[in-house]
Amino acid sequence: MPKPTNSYILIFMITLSVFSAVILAFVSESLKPAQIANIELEKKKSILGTFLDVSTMSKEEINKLYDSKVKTKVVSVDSKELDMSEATVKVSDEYRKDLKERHLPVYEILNDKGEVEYTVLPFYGHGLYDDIWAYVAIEPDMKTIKGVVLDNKGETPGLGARMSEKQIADRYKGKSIRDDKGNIITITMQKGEKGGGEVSIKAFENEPHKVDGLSGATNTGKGINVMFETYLQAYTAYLNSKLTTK
Amino acid sequence: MSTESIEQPIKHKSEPLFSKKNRKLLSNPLDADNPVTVQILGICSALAVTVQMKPALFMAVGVTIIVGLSSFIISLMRNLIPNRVRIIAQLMVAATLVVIIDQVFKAYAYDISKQLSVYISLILTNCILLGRIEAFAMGNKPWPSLLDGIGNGAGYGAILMITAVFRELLGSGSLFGYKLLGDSYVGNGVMILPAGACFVIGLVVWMQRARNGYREE
Repeated sequence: MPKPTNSYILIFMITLSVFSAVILAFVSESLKPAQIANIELEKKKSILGTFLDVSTMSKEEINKLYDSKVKTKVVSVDSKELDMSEATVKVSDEYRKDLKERHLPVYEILNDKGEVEYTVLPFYGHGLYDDIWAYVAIEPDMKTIKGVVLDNKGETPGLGARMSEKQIADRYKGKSIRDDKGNIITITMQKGEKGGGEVSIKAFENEPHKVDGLSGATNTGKGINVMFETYLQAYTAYLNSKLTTK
Repeated sequence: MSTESIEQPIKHKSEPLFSKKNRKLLSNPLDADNPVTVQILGICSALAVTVQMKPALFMAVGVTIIVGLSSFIISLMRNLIPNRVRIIAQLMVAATLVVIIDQVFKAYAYDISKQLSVYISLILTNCILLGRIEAFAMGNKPWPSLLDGIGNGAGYGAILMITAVFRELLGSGSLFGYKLLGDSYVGNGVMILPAGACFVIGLVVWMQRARNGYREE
């Protein structure tokens, strides 16, 4: 090939770029519905996963169970029910807003009689590198944690990304979000790790507001703590309102 | 605008598609010229995605498709690519394929794509990919380039799978997620960490060199 002129190089690169861009735009658009469905299913799985084991359930079972059991609403920080659909609220965007302006989704899990069995609240925050989030199921006493599902987008595999494991979520089971006087208090993940699995749970058995940490992932732990603190604060009015009506 | 005269290669007697030379392109990277164990390329991702079999398998398939196709496409365009911008052009073709694979995984294998996270996009920085394009596809015809790409992808994939078998079996007592060693088996923590992959790959390299004979050059 003879030495190409500058204009040839320019035209070649522009053509290649436009060509790639068109292909990528087409691929992205055509795969979008499937991707959105996956994200929706993931959310349903997380919400149901706070109080039961969804790992063996099929897609259809999860959708069916979710539709029959979950009632959604959106509240404001001062616990006023807002006239909007939960589907339009993106918690990942909301958490960047000022606390007072946030729209807060609430998922009420109904039992067979239509009574509220658990209240599931979505939390969102920032870990060391990227977004982290949690779904927290609270018992009808508005105090005890039934279970949580934690997940992350880009924490270090093997260190911070361990936060998404079930054994870490199990550490939050049975912890209390209220102190002796009934005021909302956050649950703090400690620095360092006592062990794993049962050892971690045993070590903090008598500490209702503390859970064992993630070894080598102190900053992810800090992110989790900030997330729990800000969101428990945001939902305080809602949690208290449910307490008085009981 | 200069018109580009693409030299038509002189027609040789057409070679059979799977001639001995072409078969070698496929089989060599699996053993004697393995990109991971012989050339020691692509180690980073091999450490990261081999904790379990399933993500390792998807990664292997992804890399094979990407290396094969980008070699093929670059080889088709090799006489059009201006030498001065060839790396950019190679990257653009490879990046497009990487993004497509990433999107497809996100749509049809969401759990796996979550586990592989950034390592799918990082295929682009895998030395095997650009190495094969630059060293082989730029100077060879499309068909041998495709075979060479698939061979190297498969060679990389084979090592991933071997590593993942040991890591998942010893680390979690399961294969492809199915518990094999029973509940009483206590997983070996090192195997779950990237260090475990270092040991396994090191042993594979050792065994292969012992078998094939190895001389320090």
